[in-house]
Amino acid sequence: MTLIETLPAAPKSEPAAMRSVRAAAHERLRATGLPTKKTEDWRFTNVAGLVGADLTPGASTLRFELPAGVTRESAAADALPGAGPFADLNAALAEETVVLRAEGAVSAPLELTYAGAEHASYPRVRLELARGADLTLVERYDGTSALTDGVVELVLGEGARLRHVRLQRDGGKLVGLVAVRQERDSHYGAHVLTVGGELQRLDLRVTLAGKGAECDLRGFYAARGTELVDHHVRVDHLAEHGTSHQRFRGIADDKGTAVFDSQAIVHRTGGHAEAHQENRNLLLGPGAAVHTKPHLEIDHDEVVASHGATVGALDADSLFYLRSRGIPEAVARGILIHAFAHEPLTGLPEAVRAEVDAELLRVLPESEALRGLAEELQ
Amino acid sequence: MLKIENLHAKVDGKDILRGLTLEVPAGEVHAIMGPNGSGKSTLSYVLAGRDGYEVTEGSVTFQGEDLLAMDPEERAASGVFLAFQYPVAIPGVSNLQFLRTALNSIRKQKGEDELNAAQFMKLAREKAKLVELSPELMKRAVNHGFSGGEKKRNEIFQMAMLEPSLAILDETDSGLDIDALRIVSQGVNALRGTDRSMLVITHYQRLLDHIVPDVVHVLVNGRIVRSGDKGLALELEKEGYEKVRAEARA
Repeated sequence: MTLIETLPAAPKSEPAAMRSVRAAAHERLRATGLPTKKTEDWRFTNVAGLVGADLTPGASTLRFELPAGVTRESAAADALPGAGPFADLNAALAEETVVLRAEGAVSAPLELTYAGAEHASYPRVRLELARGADLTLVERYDGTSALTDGVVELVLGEGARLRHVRLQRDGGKLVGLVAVRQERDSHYGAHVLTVGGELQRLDLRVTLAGKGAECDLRGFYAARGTELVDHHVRVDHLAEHGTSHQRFRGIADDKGTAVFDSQAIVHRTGGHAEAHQENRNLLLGPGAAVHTKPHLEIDHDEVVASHGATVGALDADSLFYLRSRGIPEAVARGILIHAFAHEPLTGLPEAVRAEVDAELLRVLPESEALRGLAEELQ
Repeated sequence: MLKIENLHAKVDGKDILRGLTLEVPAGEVHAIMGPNGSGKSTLSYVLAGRDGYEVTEGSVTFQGEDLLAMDPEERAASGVFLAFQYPVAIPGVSNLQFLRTALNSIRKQKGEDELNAAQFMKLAREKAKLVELSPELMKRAVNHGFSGGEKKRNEIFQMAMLEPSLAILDETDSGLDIDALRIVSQGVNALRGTDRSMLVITHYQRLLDHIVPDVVHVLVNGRIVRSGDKGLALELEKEGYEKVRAEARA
């Protein structure tokens, strides 16, 4: 708890409102501490290794350029209260909140790159889409950090459309929160690719606050070696006629561990909702583990909902079918694994497709056998 | 071409094939008929090399080589093709990409040059005509969302592309209406040739009106109990399997 006890004080130059936000976050953190294995949301994800670590913030590693249509605003005091210890840690230590605002149809993607550092870093971004705005956001988490504890707030105004691609490939430890708030008739589409290092934890929380808002959350993750990959996805249907889709797939190979926790909550005010959750996992290594838990809470009668989760090996029938046509076993396995991984990634923005394909070839098992066939597979 | 001697095989610890002996010379079409549970599908899977089928006795020689010693992909490369009774749907893998990978894997195993995309497409368009497979179906994910008839046509399309020396057709007629049966049979007949043997496995005689066999074998309780010309199929159709079953028991 050394860090939490000795968190640096907020800079004097900050406005009083900001300082009080930091102090409040610090206070909550002092009360709760970092999560332990007894904390329900962190049962499978051990962060004990961080408790004694030097989590002093290094210099900011967030890089971005603003396309026409996106402007930078002055920072506002905000701190997602109750978003958890890492969000509080971020609020207490973030150098600044980068506030961006998009208006109209923005043709070029907004690209945010987090280079990571040997030190810990606490990037904090708030992106607002004005009413009717249309934007593609690409986030890249690179580098190998002791800890990257990032918070991204996305606010979609009425009728706004955001396509969000998040490439989590930090070779170290990444703990991130993406909190999305959607106003009426807005559309949020997320593609998350998690192919990173020893600890990758993402909390993706979407609030459908306005009538007719839609979100389509997709992703693929790979836990290899001794990596731990943990996604907690939660959608709150607060307003009527909301639609949510969650479609995530992952593989656990070697001694990797994948955790997937998915919640869809239809509140009393969220009638005529449609909520779908799907999580499929391939268990490829004898020492690998997958923990998946979809749950649905409904406080309203008029809801169309489905949920399903599977954990299994490669389908033996498919494997035999491919081999019976002359395809060597390693190639057949590679084809099936790639097909499995690509499925939730359909609809990726063109700007990142080649990059994502290359990442999959890099991390998926049996990719070696597919060299030269890569272009044939998608 | 194919020589099966005293073949015994188990599935889940249960004896299914019990001393099956059969020889198919080059260029001939042999039909294997039999009641449900007689071992027809087991025979096709044992020949194609599926896991879980344990051969306990006997041998299978294909073009002078020990077929049972080969992996499924090696069997395919040496010229064995199984048209599945229930073709597998593989979402996310396009039919054409799958087939090009298969064809080039076989060519590579045989030491031949791989086909480039243009050469492959030319061949695919030509062969698709044999079974009236539309370009749209060729491009879709393997058997994904295909009707029963489309799946079987796709099997014969694959056979036409891979040009095997031995084609095993496992109940290719099951689930086909008369039009689909006609199209599939035309495709198969177009692929008959002096250097290609076929083993046509079926429960019903009607397929053999379309694909006329040189020899008909009757499989009961894991053994061939009778062999004859195409007249034997008609006889079975008329009298049912009871008589041969009784003979087999006697």
